[in-house]
Amino acid sequence: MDEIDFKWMPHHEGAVPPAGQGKRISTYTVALEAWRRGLNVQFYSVFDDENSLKVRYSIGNENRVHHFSLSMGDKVTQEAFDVCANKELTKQYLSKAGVPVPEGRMFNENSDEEEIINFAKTMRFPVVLKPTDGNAGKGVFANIQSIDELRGIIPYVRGVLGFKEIIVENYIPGDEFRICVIEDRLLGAMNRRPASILGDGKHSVKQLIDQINQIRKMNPHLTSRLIKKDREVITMLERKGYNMNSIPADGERVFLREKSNLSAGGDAIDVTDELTQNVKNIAINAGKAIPGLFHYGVDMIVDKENDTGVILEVNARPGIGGHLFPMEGKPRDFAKEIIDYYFPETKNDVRSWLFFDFDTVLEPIKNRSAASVQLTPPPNGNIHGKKYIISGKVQVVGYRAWIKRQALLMNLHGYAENLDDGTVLVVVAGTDKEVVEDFKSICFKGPEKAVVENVEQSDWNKPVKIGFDIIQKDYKLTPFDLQRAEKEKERIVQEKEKIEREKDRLNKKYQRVTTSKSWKYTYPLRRMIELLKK
Amino acid sequence: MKDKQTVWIPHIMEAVPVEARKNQISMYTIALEGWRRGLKLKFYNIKEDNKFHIRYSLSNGDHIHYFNGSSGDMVTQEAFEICDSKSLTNDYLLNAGVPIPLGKKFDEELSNKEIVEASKQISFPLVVKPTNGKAGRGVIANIRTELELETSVQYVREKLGYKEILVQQYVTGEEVRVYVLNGRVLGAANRRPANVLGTGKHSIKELVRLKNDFRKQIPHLHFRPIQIDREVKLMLTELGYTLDTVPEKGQIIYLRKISNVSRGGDPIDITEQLTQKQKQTAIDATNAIPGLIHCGVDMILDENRGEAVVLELNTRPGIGSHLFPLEGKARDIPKEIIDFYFPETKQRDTSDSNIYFDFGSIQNGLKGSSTSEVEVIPCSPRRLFAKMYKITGNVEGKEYYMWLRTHALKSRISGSIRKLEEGLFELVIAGETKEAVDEFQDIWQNKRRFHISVKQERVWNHPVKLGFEWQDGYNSMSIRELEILLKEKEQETKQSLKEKQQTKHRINKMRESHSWKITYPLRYFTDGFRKIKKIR
Repeated sequence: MDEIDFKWMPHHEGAVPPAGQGKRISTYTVALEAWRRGLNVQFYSVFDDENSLKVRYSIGNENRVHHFSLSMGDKVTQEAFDVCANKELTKQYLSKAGVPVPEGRMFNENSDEEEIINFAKTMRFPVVLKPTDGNAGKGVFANIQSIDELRGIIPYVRGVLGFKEIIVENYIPGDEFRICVIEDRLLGAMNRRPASILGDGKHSVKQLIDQINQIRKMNPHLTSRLIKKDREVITMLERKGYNMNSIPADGERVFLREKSNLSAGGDAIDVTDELTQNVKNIAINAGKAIPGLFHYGVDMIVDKENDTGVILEVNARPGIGGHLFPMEGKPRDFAKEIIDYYFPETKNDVRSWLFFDFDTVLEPIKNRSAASVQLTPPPNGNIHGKKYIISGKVQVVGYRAWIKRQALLMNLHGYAENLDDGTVLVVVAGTDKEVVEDFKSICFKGPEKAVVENVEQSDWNKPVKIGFDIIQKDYKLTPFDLQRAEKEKERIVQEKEKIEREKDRLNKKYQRVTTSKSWKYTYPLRRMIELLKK
Repeated sequence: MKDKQTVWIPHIMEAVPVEARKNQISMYTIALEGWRRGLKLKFYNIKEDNKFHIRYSLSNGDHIHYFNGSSGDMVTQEAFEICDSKSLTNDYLLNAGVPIPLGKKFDEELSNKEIVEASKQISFPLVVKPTNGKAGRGVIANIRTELELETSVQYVREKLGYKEILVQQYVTGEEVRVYVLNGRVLGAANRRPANVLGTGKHSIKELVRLKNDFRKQIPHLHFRPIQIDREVKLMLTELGYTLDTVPEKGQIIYLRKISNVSRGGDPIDITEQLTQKQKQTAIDATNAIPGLIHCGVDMILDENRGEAVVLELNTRPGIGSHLFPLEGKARDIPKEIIDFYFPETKQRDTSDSNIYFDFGSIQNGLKGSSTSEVEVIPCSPRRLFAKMYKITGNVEGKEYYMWLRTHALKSRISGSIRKLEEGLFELVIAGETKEAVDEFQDIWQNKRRFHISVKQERVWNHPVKLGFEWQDGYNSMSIRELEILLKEKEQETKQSLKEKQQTKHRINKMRESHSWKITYPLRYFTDGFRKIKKIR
């Protein structure tokens, strides 16, 4: 498991810096796509009612500028956004347009519990209870089997969670798909599967979880969303008669949780090819039902048997990370689709193989120093890359700093890194193929103190970060490292003082002895002995 | 240092973040003044000569001005070009009747010999300098003989490669930098070589350390300590001192001959000492160059006659010496510059302002290659209300800080936390109103898991940096500096260890000696007697 192949799109390999991973993946990948086409990209901050920071961005060329929020651009109207933010309103629009939705009713804060229960009594169970304006599945209770169960849940959702407006509707079994659409075109669909492992008849549950987590770490969308071996997982295993050391049979899928949230270790799986024309039409009609909604995602329960489905929710700015980086199935580049849609004239432009450092770009916005940050455009043209491994006396001689100066002088991008075996790894990339190839002789030369023995070269086809970095291993010093250094200093000072004290004590003793009368009186004796020695 | 009163500008003094203290004082202080007046501030990343440089702009929505260091776009391109060439500058100054040292310009066709011959007509001592050298590079002063002149000309032309040179009369006297804006002298500063003032108690070594501690608090001198190097030691030897000498109270000891601030020299404001005539010379010099609306004039003062000769004009003078002199009055040049560029904001008095912006993250972004432009978040129009609390509790380390930072930013609170001593921390909380600050106390204090209790609280009058940061003694210290300090301590420890072992060795040797063994009974008795004496 040491080397895991990057199984997503090659232009994303290693091209998602930490700040773009996880929740900012839509923002980053869409901005990256635009930036790579030479469009101007600017990030800026807005603050919501609670004064929480939201990062927004704009993309533009000489003629026009579009503003974006996550995967949503300004072609989607405020009205459409507001409709989607309210589940009841969405349902009304969909029903009116004849798009299938689950049957049920909304209750506002004026309705008491009895009213809701009385309505539920008229429904077929199981039912679902959800808030009208909840986010990301918060407060959603699916598969409620009885009135009694419902009675227990209502006060919790309305009281503890504080959602006053709720919906009670039919629970529809089936697979829940997330489908993305731009106008008349269905881009793709994914399905979320609860955290699970696939047995191979050899490895234990624990080992398999570790393996899956290794792959998840490689996935920019899931880097920090690993499968935790917590109580819930252990209970679930026990229920099936397993423990961490059991070895599941080859081909056996063992589920570790009930819920399918990606943050709980769930997997996104591309299921685009499973959609029938009927199901696709429902998804497309859902968008048409809401004025001003030109691109969006829908959550849909698909009933395969009857070749139909119901829409649970419409998202004006769906996360696209699961589509870009699915754990199974084909990755779909929705970032490209979105930019194609907003800037169709750039559809066939050469896309740079570089990426930008989202971390340093966002930092001044995040610490609230900057209102906006504009990106440096990438150089025009195709990028060529080479990887050089330099051996000899090349570490601790200022080799990397020297290489960096040369690279910047020649407008090359890339990085230099000390490897554990004493060699230095240099990756350079630029638009001029010759310069990139000639850099080998620069590597050979090195700074004065270096003695280069050999330079090994190979092609580099992965994306490269704009600019030139010296990779420091764990060398990002923070005030806390300084604290540690300060402690170390104190320790040394204390040690020194201790030694000084002891020294003083010994010195005094020495003084006392040499000035003592007996020492003085015995001087002739010592002198004699010394003479005798000679 | 305390004898002559220094007048600081408090709203600038403590409002320059460490990251801006290295060669960026002019940019930061001017940008800060504009920002505090409500102007829109942007920083840019510009690649020039294969290096990245930071430039900035200020805008009031109506018009925008671009700046580079202390220079703004009201200085014309023509003025820049003239000032870049020393000989062109001299031509203009001469034409306008501004006194300059007598001299001649020699272009590249001439041989060294011809230059030496022609130069002899100017009276010695002489100065040789390249026409387009930067920051004193290639300037050879006080040339007294023909032979010296010959080698100097050869050195500058052949070794340094400056073919076009000036040979001028060497004028002695005090050199001064005068800042002129729009026909007014705003400040004049000169420099005194690195020095310490005796207390009658401290050794020179200790005095240097004390002075460096003091320099560290002054933005402009933060990264310019007095370094005890060979030159300093040599100078002390010449004076008959060592590092351990304790100078008398009030005695000034000069540690170097050259006065550069970067070598530990003191900037001194002497604006009030200039004569009317000298001031007029600086103004005339600036006016002599078309399109030079502000600049720094280098002149040599003739004290006896109250006159001056002009050496050079700087289009982008550093204003740090005027802002942070070690003696005399600080001159608020950023205020004058912004008044000039944005006169409509003149009434906006910023002397009451206690906010400044973080430069570290902005600079960090611009230094990388990804960011081309950063717009600074607008300045709050009101003075912040700030309080300081001394607290104890479980707050050391990342956990409390990260937690607090998130809440502070969310509540529009700025401030910092810093360790004062073991178990005692200083928390600064600043917000737009007193209510906001008091309200926030419920958040930072009520967290049960950190066991916080307040030992002391008072209103905080120092400027506050926007955002929330962990500060400590070494925050203002570069990692390099800390490493040096660590090494120094390690060295001292090693030295002590060595000395200790030597002593131990000596004692052991003594103990092992025969006489020691032989005289044991004697010692036994004397010790016995001593004890008896004590008992009596």
